[in-house]
Amino acid sequence: MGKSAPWLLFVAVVVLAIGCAAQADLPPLPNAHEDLQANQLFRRDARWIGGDGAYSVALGGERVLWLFGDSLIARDDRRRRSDAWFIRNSVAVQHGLDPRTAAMQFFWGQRDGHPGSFFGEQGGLWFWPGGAAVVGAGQASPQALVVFGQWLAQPGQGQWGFAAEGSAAFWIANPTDPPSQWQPKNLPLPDLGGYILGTAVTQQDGMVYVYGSKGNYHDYTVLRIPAAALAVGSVAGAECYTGAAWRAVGSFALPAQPLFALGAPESSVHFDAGQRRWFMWQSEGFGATTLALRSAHQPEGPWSLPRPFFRPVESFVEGAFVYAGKGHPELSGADLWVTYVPSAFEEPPKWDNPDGYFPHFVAVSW
Amino acid sequence: MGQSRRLLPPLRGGLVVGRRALVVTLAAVVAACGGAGATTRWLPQPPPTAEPASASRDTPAFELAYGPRSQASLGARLPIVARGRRDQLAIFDVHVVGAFENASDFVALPLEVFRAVYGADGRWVWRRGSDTWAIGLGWGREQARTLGEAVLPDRPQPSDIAFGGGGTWLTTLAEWQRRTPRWQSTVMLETRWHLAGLAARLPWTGPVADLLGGMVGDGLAFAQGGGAVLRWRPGATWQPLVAVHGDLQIPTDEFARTGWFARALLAASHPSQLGETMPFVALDAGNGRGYLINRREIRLSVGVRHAFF
Repeated sequence: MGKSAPWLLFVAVVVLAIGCAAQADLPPLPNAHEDLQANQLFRRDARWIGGDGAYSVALGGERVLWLFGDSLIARDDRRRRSDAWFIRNSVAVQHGLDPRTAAMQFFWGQRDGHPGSFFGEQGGLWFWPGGAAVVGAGQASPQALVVFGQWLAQPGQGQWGFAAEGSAAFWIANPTDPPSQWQPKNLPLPDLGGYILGTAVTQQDGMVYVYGSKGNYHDYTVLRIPAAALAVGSVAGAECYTGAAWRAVGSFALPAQPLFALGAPESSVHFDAGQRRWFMWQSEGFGATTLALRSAHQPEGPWSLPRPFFRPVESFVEGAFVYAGKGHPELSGADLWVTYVPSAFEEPPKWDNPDGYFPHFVAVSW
Repeated sequence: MGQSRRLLPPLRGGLVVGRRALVVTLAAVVAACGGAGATTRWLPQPPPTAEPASASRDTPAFELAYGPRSQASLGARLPIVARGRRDQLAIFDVHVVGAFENASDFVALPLEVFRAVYGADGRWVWRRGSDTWAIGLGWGREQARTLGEAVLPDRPQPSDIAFGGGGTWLTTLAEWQRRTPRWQSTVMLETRWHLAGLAARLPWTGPVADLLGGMVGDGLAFAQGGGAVLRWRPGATWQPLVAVHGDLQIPTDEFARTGWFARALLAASHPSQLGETMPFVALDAGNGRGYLINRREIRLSVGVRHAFF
């Protein structure tokens, strides 16, 4: 031990130095504040009275599609959550890009004569949407919308008794029409060895980057699919980043090297032209979480560690459960709008906090 | 929000690492002064450098103060064992303080917020003439709660320190005391290395620390404190003294504001067989503690403190 001690000390110093160097190439943390006016975007509907997830994608023409997971639909104008319909997903179309002044129109499905999930259950499984991409002839006249997500089952009891059953995607040919006129078709996705695809989705230079996570530690991977293929309902030409190079799906042995471990189960990714970096926006931790960002120079990384930049006011509260952090670069009115969803470690539908279970807007500025 | 509910969570207890730190600390201190000539004995009174007149808010003593809101604390330092040889001494002690405070009421009884500070220290003490030096290691924990149906009036802001500060920490201590027939001066330094907060600042441990910090409710990364006490000892009955203390509370969240606190205390100490009683006047400024850690104010208070020997 006496001889090895100096070497151990040396190695520790080197490791720390490398760690510090790896963290040195980082952008400054942004300023952030919650915007109560923008929050009203989600709260004005007569029936839609809560939902989580809150992924978004530009539909073109100053319209933005919002995708929600578990949602609450009121039975009447009293908008009570205590007897609301509980559905597994819903969508909304935002008209106008500034959430402080935009209008919102919500959509959900019908099941047995009452509100049901927009993307209906199949074989006892329900769908939680993830990120989405509009692909095709351009933003003004898109050819198709692809919504990624996951199928889930409820093998256990209670709020945490669900289990992911696999990745899923829906291909929609007419995204410029109202969602009530959509006819989503299942889009088969490649099996990436347990990775659930759609944790985040972004598009750049003709490629759609679909991030996925796996397991309780949320190892991350990324798949890139030619947008032209997705536009016709295909994933031909899809490649996965193996940790060293992009390789065609099926040409390498799984599991590939993850991009990083301890990721967030939900996030968003986009390229920020001003900062000339890729950013991943997420909730960090579990329970009383903060909003955090990762950054990288390439969509496949290497990604920095998450750097918290904002603690939602709900994360100071007893029993806080704050999650679903993600950015919305298609919106205007701030350098970036980031949303999160505050909830509680309680069984639904015991959400007695009127501010809870709505997405909350945070305005971010550099 | 307008609801009658707590705005901040209670800090969660029961960290295994705290118990392990206690054992390691005890073993290290006993080993430090071990060897031939060492003796072990139970201490009849606190360690020679543990100054009961410190202006720190965590001084383990009984205290009641008002100015203008009421504060009270119940606390004691319990020396467990000393092992020494020649002019060196290893001392192990535990200490606990329960502090009650009012967040908004101006009544005399403080019944709105509560925090408990407890821990254990091991000190290596050595004497050189009229000087006594001590360095120490320890661990501690602070837990905060509201009492009864009390509701905090301050809605947390994003730049606030989370979870009411607190958490679990390792302590490093350094003390120096000089005694002359008429005067006694003591200088104290303490650094609290909060476990979850500290991990959050280290490379590669961020995600784990964020997870841990959110679960155990540790809003601070470091707390650095220091103080001094100067006593005049004209006789055995009364000892006028002045004490000053300052500390910094470095939050885990990089975007949160650093907390600070400064206090000056003027007291007349009356030693007796039951300890030391000291009426005092104190002027303090800066952040509160526990659930009031994000409230900054200046306060002039009067009170009385008693520290048992």
